[in-house]
Amino acid sequence: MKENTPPGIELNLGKELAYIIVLPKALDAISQKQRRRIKSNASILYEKLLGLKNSLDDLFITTSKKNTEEYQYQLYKKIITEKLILNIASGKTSEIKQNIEQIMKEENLRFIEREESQISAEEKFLIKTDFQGLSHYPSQEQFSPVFQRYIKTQNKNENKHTLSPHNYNLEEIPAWKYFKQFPSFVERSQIFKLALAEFNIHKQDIKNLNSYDLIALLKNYSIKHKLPPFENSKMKFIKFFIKHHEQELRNYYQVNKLVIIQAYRNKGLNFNFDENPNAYQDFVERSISQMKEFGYVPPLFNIHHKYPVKDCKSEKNLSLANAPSNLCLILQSPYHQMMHLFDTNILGKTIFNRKVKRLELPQELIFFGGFDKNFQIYHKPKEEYRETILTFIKQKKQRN
Amino acid sequence: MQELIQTLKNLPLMLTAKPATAEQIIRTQQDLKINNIAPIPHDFTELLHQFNTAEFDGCYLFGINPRSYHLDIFAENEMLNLPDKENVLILGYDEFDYLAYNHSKQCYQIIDKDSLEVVQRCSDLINAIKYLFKIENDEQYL
Repeated sequence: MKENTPPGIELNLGKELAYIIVLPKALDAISQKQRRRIKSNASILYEKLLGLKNSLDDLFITTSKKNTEEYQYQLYKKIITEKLILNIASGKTSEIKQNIEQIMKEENLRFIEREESQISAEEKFLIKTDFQGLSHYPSQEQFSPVFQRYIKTQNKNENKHTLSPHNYNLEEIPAWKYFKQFPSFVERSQIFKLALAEFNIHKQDIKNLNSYDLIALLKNYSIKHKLPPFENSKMKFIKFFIKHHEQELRNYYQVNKLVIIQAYRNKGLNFNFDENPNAYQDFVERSISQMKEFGYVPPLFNIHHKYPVKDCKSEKNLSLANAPSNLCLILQSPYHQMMHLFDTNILGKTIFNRKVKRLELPQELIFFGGFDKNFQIYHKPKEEYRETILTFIKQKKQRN
Repeated sequence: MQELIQTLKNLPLMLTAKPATAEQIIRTQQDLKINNIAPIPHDFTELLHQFNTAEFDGCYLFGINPRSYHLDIFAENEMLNLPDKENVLILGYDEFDYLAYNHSKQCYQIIDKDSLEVVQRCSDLINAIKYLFKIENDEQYL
């Protein structure tokens, strides 16, 4: 990542994409007389878009020389961005879709049609738990009838038989076929057995337990025996990211100071960078230290699942949904919102009524702070491995 | 509630806006009504007077944001345009779920973003917010 790249294009394209999330809805609302506030928002946004359109000329002229490849690229980008702005302003949603796709394509981001292969609620619950941890119990309605019976009798001390943890074979629990796809749950196999034994679950009943029952048992046992907290995939990813890319993130914060401060202001956040000259640097240092120590997602960012969780049905490995290669740290607004622009819910509806279409991000992309390549970070394990080997050989030679 | 607000404020790098004014809340309630979106429940308006919008560790709580549509209850619900919006108001989200208030059931709910199924019913606002921000429930349940 370059340290001194001016964030010109970035600011414009980012803003424009933020507006496209709101504008089609806002313009649609204009035709409905009663929508007072939406209507006024639409006029404000329209003015902003016109300003953006005018600023494109300056942007274009100052950034490249004629007849170069860069010039052609900028020209093309300008044309499609202008088209997009005009289409947004006139509310032509089908054209807006095409323009967005063109822009994404130019930025090496591909939209792909996916055949929907929805996972079950239990599978998704385990992906969620692996990603977020064990903060809450599942709701009672989700427990199996057998387990609900155990809960009732537990308080009356009616489960008096006692089994050794060794008597349980987790493979006999149908839901274990999901659990064993996650290293974090496999590591806890023994704790699952201890929890089953402590709860006096009959050996013949374990085949009727579901995923929610097992997670409830695990959480209950962990609290009762004060086990160390479950380090979830989200935390692991953040720690992994900051371990390998701290300097690149610091450079990003330095170059994009204005973007970050503007993002704060847009959110109406109660934090004044102007009053204290060290406030921004303090914010950066605190964000990085929280990432290192606790694996917290830094403020204004979020984690994006590149391959969507709802479509990640795999016979072999559900945990791939939360693997570092499927995760990307991304500015929440506008980029994460943009990534989900074409999401469909159960009704198959999106704001553009488009079905199952996703943005394809490269597997090695680990950080997305903007379309400009200078604002992206790639994690290349092969190169890292090669460097490690080379260092090792060099050290060995020096020793000899 | 005060205890919860203090817990939220103590979360590291919790981002929050200035408390909402009575005027802003009334205006938002009017906008919601005009646009056939469910109103903000009473206990949530109480919260807004002290704690307005929150963002922590990839989890977001809506409030009133006059500057932009980010985390603004009205704008976010208008954009989401989910079915049953006359009855169910979305008040926040994380990577997988929405936090919502269901007026006909008179309770806070956690709703799966894709399937729109209710995955959890919360007894009150405090528990709903704890659920959203993954504030550990350390009580033994079983």
